[in-house]
Amino acid sequence: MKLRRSSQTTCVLAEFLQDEKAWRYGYDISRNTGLKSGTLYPILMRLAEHRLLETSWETVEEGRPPRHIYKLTRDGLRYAREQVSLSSAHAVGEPAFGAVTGR
Amino acid sequence: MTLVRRVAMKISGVVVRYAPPGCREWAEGLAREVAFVEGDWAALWWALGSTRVLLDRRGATFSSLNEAASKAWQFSESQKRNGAYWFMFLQALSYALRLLDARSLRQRIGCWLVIFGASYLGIFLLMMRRRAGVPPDNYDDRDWTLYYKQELVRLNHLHHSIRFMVSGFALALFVAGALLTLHGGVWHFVDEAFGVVAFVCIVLLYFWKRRGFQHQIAALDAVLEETP
Repeated sequence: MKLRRSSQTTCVLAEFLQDEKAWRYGYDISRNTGLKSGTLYPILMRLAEHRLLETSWETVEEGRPPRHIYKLTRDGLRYAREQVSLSSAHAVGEPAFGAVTGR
Repeated sequence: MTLVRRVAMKISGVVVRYAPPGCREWAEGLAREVAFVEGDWAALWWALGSTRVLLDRRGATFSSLNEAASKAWQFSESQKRNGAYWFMFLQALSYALRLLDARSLRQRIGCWLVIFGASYLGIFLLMMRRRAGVPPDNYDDRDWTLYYKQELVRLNHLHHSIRFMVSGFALALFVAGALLTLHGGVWHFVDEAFGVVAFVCIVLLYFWKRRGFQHQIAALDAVLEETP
């Protein structure tokens, strides 16, 4: 299965690049990207399926069940940097107010 | 804890219970986050969003070639037991007998449509069974895994064939014919609506299963790559 490129996936990847080494909670990523759980988690699942994301469980407070945490793998970081820079290049290439005429 | 938050946690619990095997870990992860979402209504939206996991058809990933081979064997056994074509031939026979008793032109047309549709579908399903790959005659895990992958790829590309498209048309004839043979009256339109919904559901079910095939193929590729 190919990994579908979308602006939402790029947004999630950019969020992970904010702190490359940190493990992140799903709710934090959702809050920072503005993506709802039904949109965010399929993206995370696809990234994990392609071995771009690793998952783990972290015990936060005693008596509370562990939380699921996520971090990009080395391949994931490489992919994220590519996608984010591609996305920025497309954004820069487009003129803000339409094409500039020769006059 | 407020009622809204409790409902949110209940919904998440249901999602975890009914999540497909490959998504159970993710469903658990989503459910655990509910307790940390700020705002009860936001927690409820979070839980409702998590129900999307129920639509995902990914099976569990394979931890070893042996596990994949075991799944391949189960698949091969289920293919041997698959007698759906018999059901279609029986339907064709049943409506052929009904044709003898048909009173109106509408019922006769309906019977013929079902006979044609069911016969075609029966032949199509029988040919699919005959075209299925032959499982390996050895106990090699890699061979069985490759056989399983080959079969899933074949099923995944089924909709590209003209025969499949014609079978979709045959299914439509079957449903339309069955509806025509029903008695008219007040429930006539309800039956028609039900028939259309049933047809659409069958088509959607195929594409939903196909998504599951794609996930399985990706999981098989991953285990084949990891194992020398």
